[in-house]
Order: sequence, then structure tokens, then C-alpha cells
Amino acid sequence: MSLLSRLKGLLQIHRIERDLDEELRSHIEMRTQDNMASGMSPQEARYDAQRRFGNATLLKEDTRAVDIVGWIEAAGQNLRYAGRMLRRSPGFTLVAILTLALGIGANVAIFTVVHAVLLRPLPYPHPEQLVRVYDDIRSSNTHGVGMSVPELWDLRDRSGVFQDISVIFPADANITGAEHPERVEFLGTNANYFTMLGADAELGRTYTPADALPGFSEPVVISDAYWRRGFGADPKVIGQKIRIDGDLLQGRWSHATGVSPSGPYACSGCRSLGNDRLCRAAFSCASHSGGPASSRRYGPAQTRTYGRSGASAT
Amino acid sequence: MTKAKSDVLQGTLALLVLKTLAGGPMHGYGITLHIQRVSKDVLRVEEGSLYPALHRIEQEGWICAEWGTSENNRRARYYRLSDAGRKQLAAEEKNWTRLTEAVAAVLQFAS
Repeated sequence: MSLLSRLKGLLQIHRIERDLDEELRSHIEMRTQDNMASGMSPQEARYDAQRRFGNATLLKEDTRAVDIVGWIEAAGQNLRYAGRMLRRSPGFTLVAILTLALGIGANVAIFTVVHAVLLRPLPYPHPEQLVRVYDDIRSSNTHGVGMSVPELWDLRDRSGVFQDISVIFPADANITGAEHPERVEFLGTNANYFTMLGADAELGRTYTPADALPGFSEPVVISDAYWRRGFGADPKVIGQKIRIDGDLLQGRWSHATGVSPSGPYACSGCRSLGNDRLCRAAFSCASHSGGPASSRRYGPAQTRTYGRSGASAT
Repeated sequence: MTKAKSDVLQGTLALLVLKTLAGGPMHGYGITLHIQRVSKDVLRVEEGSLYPALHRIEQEGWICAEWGTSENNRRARYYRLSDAGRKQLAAEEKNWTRLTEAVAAVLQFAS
């Protein structure tokens, strides 16, 4: 039996039922007539005719059950029955619903995180080229010893592996000068951090090579989320001076040069989900000694190195 | 025929119905009577098995049904053999012959 004819049967079910009813009735009538012709009384005749049919409802159901789509109806009826039964035992229903909600909610939450952190590709051009550079000493099994500045430049210029390299150090910092003081995540970076990533500022600009002077320089890029939160999405934030951890920059004001577009920042391994990473102040790796002294010493071990692989530019 | 729903009996009923209709259009009651009469009361088709079978055969497209008037001016549903039904009838007749010959062969051998 073709599915189409069965589906048609389901749609025309009322007509079919009516037809079947009438057909059965006429069948009974004819047999009654014949019975009477062969000598039975009218009641007997009709009774015999009907008896031959057995249970009329059962017969009709059997006839209709031949359609496979009957199981759809049965499924619907079962669902309604299940609904009634659930309503009768609210305690069980509640527990079941809570369990399902917990399970589904937990799964959704975890996979949202997994998706954002692991599965979603980085929003930069050629994200497959962005790499994290680890500095381990294999022989003594030391990890993360940090790289000196000349090492970094050697990696970039002479290894033939990287197009560009940038160093970051993540820190916490207090921001004042915005709407209210706030403690944010702060990322000190190289001046070429944004050019390496291939990301542009939504407002203003990112760093220029002029910012790559020894010591901490003034420009700061703030994230979109912090821009909205701390500055109320005020476009005049460009050029505004803010203070980051008073003693970090020796009391120098920094001014925001740019607002990075919304989206996770930093490279693989430290994606920030809430876009709360505040700012990347440019600092130069040229020296730690020649610039303003900061109360925090940023040794090489606290830095992280990221690079973009590919043919060297030069 | 009893109400057993085995496939063989169902298939046989279909065969009988198709053969009955090969002689011309008939309504359900007429089919019952015909089979009963021709088999000399050996085969009695219960209505409970006839109508599901008729419905199934109709779904398969081997018979067509339409409303008509019976002998005593009663509205009845007449069934007619279709072309596909004719082909199916021939095939089933061949099958049946083969089956019965096989059974007969086995029975003759056993004695």
C-alpha cells in the first residue's frame, strides 16, 4: 500500500467511515431480507444478520487499522492519555520535569561554553596561523621559563617560522577616570598585537609603530563591553584620559585610543567570554629598565607569547 | 473460513475475492454469497474478515469501488476488478496451483 494512499485515507477518514457504515448497513439489510425469505421472523433475521458481523465497532476498527497511519492516531491518543495520567500524579510529574530541566540546562550551558571557547573559530583573518609559543626547557622539564627580548626578536626575524610575534601579559588592574572605578582584566601587549591578529579598532585606532617605544606608552585600547559599561558607549572616549593602577604607570594618564570590536579577545587558550578584557596598553619589550619604574616587575615568566606563522614578511 | 488472521488465509481470501470479482462487479454481500454457494457451503466468509480484506485490496489498487443500486433498489457499494487486479489474480492463481501441487506431491509420497 502506498504511503500516499494511506495518508489520503487518513485525511478522508470521515468520508471513509461514513461509507463503511452505510456499506455495512446495506449488507445487513440484504442478509436480513434473505433470511426472511428463507423463513426466519424479522427479528430473528435481523439478529442473525447482525450477529454475523460480530462486533461492528471492532470490524470497523479492523478495517481502518489496515491503514498504517492508524498508528499516528494511536500515538495521538496515547499522548493524550499520558497527559491525563501525568496530571493525576503531580509530584512525579514535577520531579520528572525538574530532572529534565536540570539535565537539559546543564548540557546547554556546558556546550555554550565549549562552543565559545573551543569550537568557534577565531574572528581574525587566517585564524589557523595564530599560534601560541611555549617556552619550555625540555631537558630539565621546566615549563614556561619565559623568553628574553632578544630571543623574541630572533624568533620573529630569523626563525623563518613566524610572520609576527607579540607578547602579552595579563594582569588585573584598577581603572579610574571612567564612570566609576572598576577592577578589570588588563592585558599589556606589544605594539604589534593588533596588527598580528589582524583586528581593527571599532572606534579610533589601535597602536602605531610610534607607540613601540621603550617603557609603557600612553595609548590604551578598551574592549567593547567595557566601553559600554564604563563609558556608556560614549564616542568621546577617544582621547579621554584614564588611569590604570596609579602606580603601574607612574601616575601617568593613559588615553584611550580605540575601542576594540565586540568579540572574544586574546588568542587561543585565553578566550574571554565576557569580553571583559579591558585594554591593551602598549609596552615595548625593548627594555624593562629604561622606562618608568613600575611597582610590579613583569618578568619574562609572566608573559605569554603569541605568533602568527607563515612566511616572514622580510 | 474462521477468523484466523494468518497470512496464508488472508492471502487466500484475497485470491477468492479477486476471482469472484473477475466474473463482474459485485457488492460485499454478493461476494460472500457467491463464495459460499460455489464452494458448496464449505467456505463461509465471515463479514469480520471480508471487509478488512476488501479495504486492503482496495488500498493496493486491485479493485475499485463505487456506489450503485442493488437488486432490491438498495444503495450498495460495488467492487470491480482493475487491470492491476487482473494481473494480480493471474499471479496468485499460479501461486496457488503451485502450492497445492506441492502439497499434493508430499501427501502422495508419504502414503
